[in-house]
Amino acid sequence: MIQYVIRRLLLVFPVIIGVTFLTFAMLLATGDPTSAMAGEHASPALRAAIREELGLDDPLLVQYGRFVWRLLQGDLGRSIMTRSPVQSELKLFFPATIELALAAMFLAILVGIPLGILAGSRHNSFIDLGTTFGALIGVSMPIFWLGLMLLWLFGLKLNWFPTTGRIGADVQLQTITNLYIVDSIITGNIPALTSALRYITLPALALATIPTAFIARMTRSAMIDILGMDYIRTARAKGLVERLVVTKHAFKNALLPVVTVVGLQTGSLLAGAILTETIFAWPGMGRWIVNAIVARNFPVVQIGVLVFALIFIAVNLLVDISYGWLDPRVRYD
Amino acid sequence: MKRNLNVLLSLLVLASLVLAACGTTPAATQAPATQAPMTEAPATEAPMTEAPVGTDTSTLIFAQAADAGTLDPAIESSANSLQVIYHIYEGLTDFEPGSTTPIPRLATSWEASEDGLEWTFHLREGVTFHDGTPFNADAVVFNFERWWDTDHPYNLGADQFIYWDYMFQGFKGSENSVLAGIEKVDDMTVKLILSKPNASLLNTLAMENFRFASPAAIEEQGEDYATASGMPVATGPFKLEEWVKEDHITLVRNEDYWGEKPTLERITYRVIPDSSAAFLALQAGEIDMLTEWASPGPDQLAQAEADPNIQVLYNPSFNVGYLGLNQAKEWLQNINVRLAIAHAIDKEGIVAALNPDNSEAAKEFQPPSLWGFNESIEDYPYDPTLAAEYLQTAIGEGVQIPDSVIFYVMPTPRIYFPQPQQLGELIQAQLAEIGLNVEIQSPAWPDPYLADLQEDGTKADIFLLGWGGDNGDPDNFLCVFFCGADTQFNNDGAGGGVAPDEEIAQLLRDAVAETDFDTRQTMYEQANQLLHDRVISVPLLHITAPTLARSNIEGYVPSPVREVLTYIVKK
Repeated sequence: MIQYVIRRLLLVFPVIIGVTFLTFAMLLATGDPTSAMAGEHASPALRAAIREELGLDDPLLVQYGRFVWRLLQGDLGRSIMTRSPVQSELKLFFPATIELALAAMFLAILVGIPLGILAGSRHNSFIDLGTTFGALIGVSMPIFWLGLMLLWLFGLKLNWFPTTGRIGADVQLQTITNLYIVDSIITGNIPALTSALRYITLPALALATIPTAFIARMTRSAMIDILGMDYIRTARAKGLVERLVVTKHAFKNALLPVVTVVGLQTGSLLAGAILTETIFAWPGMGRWIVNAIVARNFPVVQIGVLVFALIFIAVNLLVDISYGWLDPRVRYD
Repeated sequence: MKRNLNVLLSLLVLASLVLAACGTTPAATQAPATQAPMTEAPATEAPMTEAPVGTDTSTLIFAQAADAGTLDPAIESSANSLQVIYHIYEGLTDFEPGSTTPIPRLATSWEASEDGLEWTFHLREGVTFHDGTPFNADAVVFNFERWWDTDHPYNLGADQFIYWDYMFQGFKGSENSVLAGIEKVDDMTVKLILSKPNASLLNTLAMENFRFASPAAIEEQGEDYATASGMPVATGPFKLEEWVKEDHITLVRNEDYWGEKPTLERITYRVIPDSSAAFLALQAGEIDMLTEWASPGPDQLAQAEADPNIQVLYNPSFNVGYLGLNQAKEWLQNINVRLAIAHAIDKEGIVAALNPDNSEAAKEFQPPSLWGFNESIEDYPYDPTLAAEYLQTAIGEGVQIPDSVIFYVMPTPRIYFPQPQQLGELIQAQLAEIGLNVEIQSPAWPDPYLADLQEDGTKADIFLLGWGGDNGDPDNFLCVFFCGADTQFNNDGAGGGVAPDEEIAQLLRDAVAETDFDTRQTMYEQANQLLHDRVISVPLLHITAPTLARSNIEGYVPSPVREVLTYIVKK
């Protein structure tokens, strides 16, 4: 087991090198930051000056080598557009995205799993059909459209939630982790907590839709499979009440595929965060990276992609490890 | 019981999976920093302030699509940054509200020598920077030297001081540089020495880029000056209170301001990237104003006009969007081809189809509101038959029309083209009528779109691009394009193409050096006539960009160059 984890961890390095190098090469092949810096009408001389200053004339491998060398020394560089250290921006935007992704995943699990269990244990019932249909709509709904509809309905028409932003500007909050909900709990700041929860609701709802649908569908089909197995029939035959059959005997075994889906969906949450953050003006990593890609702000793109890649790797690893725990028959060799 | 626990644990695992994954904060964020430590400026790390929102009438919430890059005027060119900078910083001159006429600001008066080469500025007494240090001749000289001299310890490099390079045509030591020197005459007097007369100097000095920062602050903050890790320090009516990156910037009234203090206590700039979401936020009353750069489409504009809670404030048009004709392509060197294109485009039809409420057909490369505009020019009428005849004449003269005309159309809206894709398709259809087979290409904006046009004249035959004025002088519209070789219009960046039109270029170079206003005005009118006669390219539209505001906002003076919020009263 430990060997397996170490082996998997060692794989991180080639993946990181591959991901960062490919991003770098692709971005460089399609333009550089000169126009984003110099605007609508830059002379070739100015463009040349910018390229020289940023070292963009050097061969690709030299530029990439410079990035790796700096990284090894712990220097993440400075954003070309804001001149701020990338590290300080990361500290700000990373927690914002994590907070949103966690809230969305929390909602997705909270809604998706019980719905899936209900639908699976009442196969072909009204609730099953409703869940299946709802899940179909959920996975097909474009986040962009859904986000705007949520804004229009709950923000403008019903006025239940604020439309955009992360916390009310009239709220005082001492930031420690930059996870506003956590910070307001740590500091016992109830108004900040209420405000942060109100602001996160709509974006989290929008972001949670697709994973909820996936989780519900996966839980449902896993439950249907398992409820048809012999040992379930045995459990029923020995007179166990149905509630216990479902929750005790079937559910744990149905979890294995669900865990996989949750892991995979974490990846899509990060992708979905880009759109959600744009619509709801959520100051997170997704928007940060997209802006950086548009402006060819290489230092930010590199670090942003690196962080996303690390998250993917970590989630996948945890999913694999959790298999062994959920199903002792799984062996790591 | 144990089983129940297992189920519970399983659920917990699910939830914590994500948490754990995210909790493993990647090594990157924990790596020891070699960069300068974050200064504890009240910029990013400070706790949220008490800035009241919504109910408090003295905070104005103004939404922009993107955050400021830095708040250092010398290195910024984006409207989002300059908008904030305008309210923090002041220069020697400013624009009169609602116009581009220069008026005194930190200079109370000035004189120019006979030959226009020496300008003496008398500075305003009793002005202090936000950090309490005095504004005086030393501060002015420090700032000019920082901008001008690439060897100055606080100059960040020629690649950063872009607007200095644009407006003053080079740095210390370069032969084109407009500035030849800066001298302190006494504590409250400075002298700018020019290498050649520059009639637009007072306008240029009103631009945000040439406004003064506290030398003490620059020395103290170094590379962090006015970034989100630092603090902008100037003399203006507002100062920075808080900057939460990508979320909001809050400015607070400078209670020690030398002039009339604003009624507003605070301005909060909120970042809302999606224009539909920003419009909803305005309708919901969460923001007070939405910048003109949000470029609302006709539907949104109609909705805003119909909403009693929203007012549409049109700013004087100060831009031009044009169809560029690239004469590095041989077939476009023929004037009959260019005349054919000019006659083939139905500008009035485009206005009616795309932005009937806030655009007008352009016949010159500068907006009609700006002096130098030539009233007597009559635009080429839309006439597909005549256009086709011109094209046939050109073909008769041996011009080879390409089978496929490459047409660059930007993929993202600009203030001068709110709907570039639809515009591109209309032009494509209109050119098809005279027999040109136009292929639209939309490389990513800003690069490679701009790099292709401005460095490699072999890519596009025709293209969409535009320009918004910086300093309110016609020089800034015409000389930007037509004072010399330009890869967009006449060469391919590698020796191919044609020489720029030297008659027009010389006229424009002479005009900016001319000190008599009436003569200058005539020269620009002449230049506009020549540009029209020779169909160097085809001006298409002037957009009148609207600022949207809640109906309780009063005192906004629509202005050509910047949305000025200083005098606003929130009822």
